Amino acid sequence: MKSTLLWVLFTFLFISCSKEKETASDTSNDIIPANSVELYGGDFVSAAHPTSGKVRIVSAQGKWYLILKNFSTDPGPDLKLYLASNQAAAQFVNLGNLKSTNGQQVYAISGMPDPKEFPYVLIWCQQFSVLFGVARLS
Amino acid sequence: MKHVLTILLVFMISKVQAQNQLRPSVDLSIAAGSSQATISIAGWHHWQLGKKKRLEIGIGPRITSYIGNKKDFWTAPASIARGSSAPFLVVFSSQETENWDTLNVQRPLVFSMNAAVQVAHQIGKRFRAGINIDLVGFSVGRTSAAVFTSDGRQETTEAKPVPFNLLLTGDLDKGSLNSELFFQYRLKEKWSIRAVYQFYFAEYKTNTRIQQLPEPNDRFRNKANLLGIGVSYSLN
Repeated sequence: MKSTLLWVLFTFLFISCSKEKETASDTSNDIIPANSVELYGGDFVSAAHPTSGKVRIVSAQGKWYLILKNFSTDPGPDLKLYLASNQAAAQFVNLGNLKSTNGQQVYAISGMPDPKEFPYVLIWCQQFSVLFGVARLS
Repeated sequence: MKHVLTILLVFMISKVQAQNQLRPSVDLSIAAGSSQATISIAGWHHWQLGKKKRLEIGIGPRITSYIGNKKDFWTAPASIARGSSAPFLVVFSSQETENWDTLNVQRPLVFSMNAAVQVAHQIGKRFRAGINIDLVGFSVGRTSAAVFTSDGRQETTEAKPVPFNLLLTGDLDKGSLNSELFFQYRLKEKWSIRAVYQFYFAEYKTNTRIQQLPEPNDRFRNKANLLGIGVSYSLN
């Protein structure tokens, strides 16, 4: 009985640790950079979870940004935004934690990867390797 | 720490005299570090040595359950990770960090069952201190999503625990092995409480030889430094 209780406590401690990685950033300051030029764009389609919206990659003042517009997906643990070589994220560039599961969001891209090598934008649950939604850049 | 333990324990085994009094006990420990923890249970048969019977050497099985969250595992084979892969010398050889790649295992969970040895010394009537180390055994565990990073490039993969464990000193070790430095205080005749420092090697293997340079490799190791507490129950 005691060992069972210990296991429950043990498991609870670790499950509760993963909570902080859930998507919950403030995106109210995510403003599209002025005089930005659109380079690539695409539409999200659902994978394991309903996902919709548009993605744009723009450049402004020598920097690159990825913009999500009218975006929506399901909440989930450890959601990341990837530029990836395929829909299984065989190779990818991690743009960071997904800031929010809906609305407009802007992500800075340091050193713009070659979109021919990384033509997919993935909403990816890293902890469980689950694809929530995907957009193909064109 | 592992090589010192190994040398010491091999030396002590040669000194064991089977006619000395047998003292069985069971230890339970919980230890934790940064985003990782272990629960271990061990059964020991101790032989008391010396005139005052203060020195003990023991052997027994130990089960260690290791759990972590997004832990980095690094290139494991000594032939890649260290300057020398000769037994014992490997411990003192250079770390070839330019050859190390990283496997971030998202949800590592390993159950290892190993034969272990222990050396302990009775200090006064109530205190006892000692060291122990796993020697050989096997592991099972959860296959987990993992992120492999090499030269800044990242790949998604899967990894599972290496099934066979063997102490060979330093980075020559294979699989998942536990070792402890412990201090024990006897509360009652049979019950003691323990403070432990654990050094736990956990090893995961990818489905393919995902590391290509300087040579193909699929084994990655996490070396966990953990502090914990426990209890010990004497069976006689």
